[in-house]
Amino acid sequence: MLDALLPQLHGFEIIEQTQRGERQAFVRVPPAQLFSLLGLLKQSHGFVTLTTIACADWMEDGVFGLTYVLETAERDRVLGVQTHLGRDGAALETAIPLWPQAEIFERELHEMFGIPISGHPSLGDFMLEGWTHTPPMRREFDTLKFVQDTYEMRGGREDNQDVREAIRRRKEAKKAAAAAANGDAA
Amino acid sequence: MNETIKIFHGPQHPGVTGNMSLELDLDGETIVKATTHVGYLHRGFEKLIERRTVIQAFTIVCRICVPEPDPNEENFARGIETLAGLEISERAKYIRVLILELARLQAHYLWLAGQGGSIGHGIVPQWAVGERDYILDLFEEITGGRVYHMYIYPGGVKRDLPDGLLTRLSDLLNELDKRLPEYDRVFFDNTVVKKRLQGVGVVNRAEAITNGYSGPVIRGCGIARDVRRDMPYLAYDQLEFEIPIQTDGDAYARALVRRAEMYQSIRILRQVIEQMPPTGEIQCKLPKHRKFIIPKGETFVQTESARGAYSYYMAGDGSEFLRRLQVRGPSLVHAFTLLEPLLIGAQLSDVALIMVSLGICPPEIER
Amino acid sequence: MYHHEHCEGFQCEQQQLEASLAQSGNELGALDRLMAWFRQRSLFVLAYGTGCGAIEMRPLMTSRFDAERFGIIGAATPRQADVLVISGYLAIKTLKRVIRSYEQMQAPKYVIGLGSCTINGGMYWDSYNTIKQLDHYIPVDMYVNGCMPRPEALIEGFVALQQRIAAGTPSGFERYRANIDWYKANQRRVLGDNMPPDYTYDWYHAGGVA
Repeated sequence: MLDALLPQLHGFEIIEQTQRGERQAFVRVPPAQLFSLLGLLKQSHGFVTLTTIACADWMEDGVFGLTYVLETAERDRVLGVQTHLGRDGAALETAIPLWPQAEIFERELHEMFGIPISGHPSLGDFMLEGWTHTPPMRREFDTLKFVQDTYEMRGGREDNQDVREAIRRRKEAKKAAAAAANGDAA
Repeated sequence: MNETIKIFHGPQHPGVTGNMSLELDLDGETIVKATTHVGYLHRGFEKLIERRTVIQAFTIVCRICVPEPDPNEENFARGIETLAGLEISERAKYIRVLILELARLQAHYLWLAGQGGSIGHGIVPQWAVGERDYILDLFEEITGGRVYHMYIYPGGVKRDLPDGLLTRLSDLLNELDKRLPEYDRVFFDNTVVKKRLQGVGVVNRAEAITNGYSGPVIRGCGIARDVRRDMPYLAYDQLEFEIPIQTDGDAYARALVRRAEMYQSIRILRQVIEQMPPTGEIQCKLPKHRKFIIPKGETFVQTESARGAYSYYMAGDGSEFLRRLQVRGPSLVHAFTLLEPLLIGAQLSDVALIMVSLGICPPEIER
Repeated sequence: MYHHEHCEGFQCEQQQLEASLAQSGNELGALDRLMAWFRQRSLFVLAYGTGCGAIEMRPLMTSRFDAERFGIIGAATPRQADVLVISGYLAIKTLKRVIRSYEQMQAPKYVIGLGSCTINGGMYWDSYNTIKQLDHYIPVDMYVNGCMPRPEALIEGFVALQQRIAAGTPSGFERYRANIDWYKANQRRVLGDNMPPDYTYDWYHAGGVA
């Protein structure tokens, strides 16, 4: 699929490309070229649907990996157009002019990752209400620590056993039995 | 002099399809503005999956969508298989198709109950939920769970089918097939039902594809789009079935699409019973679960659920945890991009039936 | 605490149906006993599906399990409901609505917590957006565990609740009144400034704990 498509994309700097099966591919472009590529793919190459905008937090590289998943009308090809966006407040342009459903995807990106979206009409609370902590999907947000700080956990039952302890004891018993058997054999 | 009244339709309201809320501005009984509010069921699945190994995550993915959990399991399993390069056996593929189609069938029964309830039709919910329970009983026999199955496992399925299950399934299908025409008489051909559903919630065909609608919504406006046909997964390319379409785009068209899909599911299940290899591996060899490393890479998997195309974006980073799993259920777009404009000009009493007919499922919107 | 004594689960539904009719041997007066008897057989359940357990409410209410045999039926608004079923995990955003719904319900009122996630967080024990112990925020009369509990388990939970009502055991709403400050402090801890309005429990301001 990429072999046929890539020669037609003149002037785009393809940083990375992966093909997964015959019908699925991912290409990565610099953020500056993202929207011209999306527009071109929608207009002239039949990728008319934006299915989702996925975001993965690559904290160690300091970037968000954004993937705009596009589909053709016949749904015979899926193309993920990717770009890397700086983690520290780099803004993203809105894709609403191209696809209206981008509105909710971007609201979610804004809320869950704290990505500022420029040109978006309705950023605000989406799933959370009055959240003031780190945006929860960022890697540095530790959900377990947050839970321990915010909620009280119920103590275990009195007869609650530590599973790991039980497994360890069982293993030791087995080892001891095996050693004893070996000792007998010797 | 027109004064608008603002009412909150939900979250505590019997007329919403789950725990979500619609903020409606009304002029009399006519809606002039609708805003969807979600987040009442947000559990942060995507965050939880980042901290769980593959096998641990497998137990929670099915809980993302309650009325039809199995497409989640299938997506997750298939994504892991693609990333880790696992091949599943022919028999496992057929068993998965069987589970997915049964799930679709029960989801359609549940929809039928909801659609009946939303227009005040008391008989259909009683019948449909009762008959759905026969399917749940089969599920319980196969997987051990009525609603959450945790059965479709990366690399195959969790355990083999019980003895004689296919015979019982076949009997059940005959029974359901025999009873389905009763629903035509009481529901689909019912004048009152037609009056309520026809011409309500008409979806604009021109924007259906670009806006990413799917499932009965898009097939109800005349576009035969179905992942099972467009991008066949599992054994769907070896099975014969039709993709029913209707051209009106209203709630009644979607009802007819779902009704035809119930027959198609029964047809697929009958073929599965015939074509399934009688013996064979059901589970390929997996790495030890503590050492189950997902290679660096990403994939996008899609499954056709009863409500539309259900997709996962998954990225692995070479550790035993997934770096990212993004869930994109069909109702995410339906509940916002589609529903908000669709409700303008609709009557207050039609809100519930429009929501049910679009198949909006809040837990998958909010994860 | 409810324990199995004679029979198990759905095998003894009929027995459960009949048994709770003939409750006696407690210290209630005749009028109270009559009231409790009326009350236990007319439980209106608020139709608020707060979580995934709501999916099993439909089989429960329809033809197969038919909870109406036990006098259990749905109610659309909090003011007409007796029982609030918390069907699973509560997200923070829902918690606020649940508290408000609960406070709008008229006493006597009961809360059933459905599923493991109401008891200790269950599957979502490390989720940042769900509460872990329901009984810290609203008083719970009966827990039904399981993920998710079967309709039969629900019926058992309801029957156990009915037996409690018949026996005149003090129930949650009395606890809520007596310990309102503790509950409100807990609620404030997770909801912050985003608390439901005070007027939903105006008895508290009107004349203290009644």
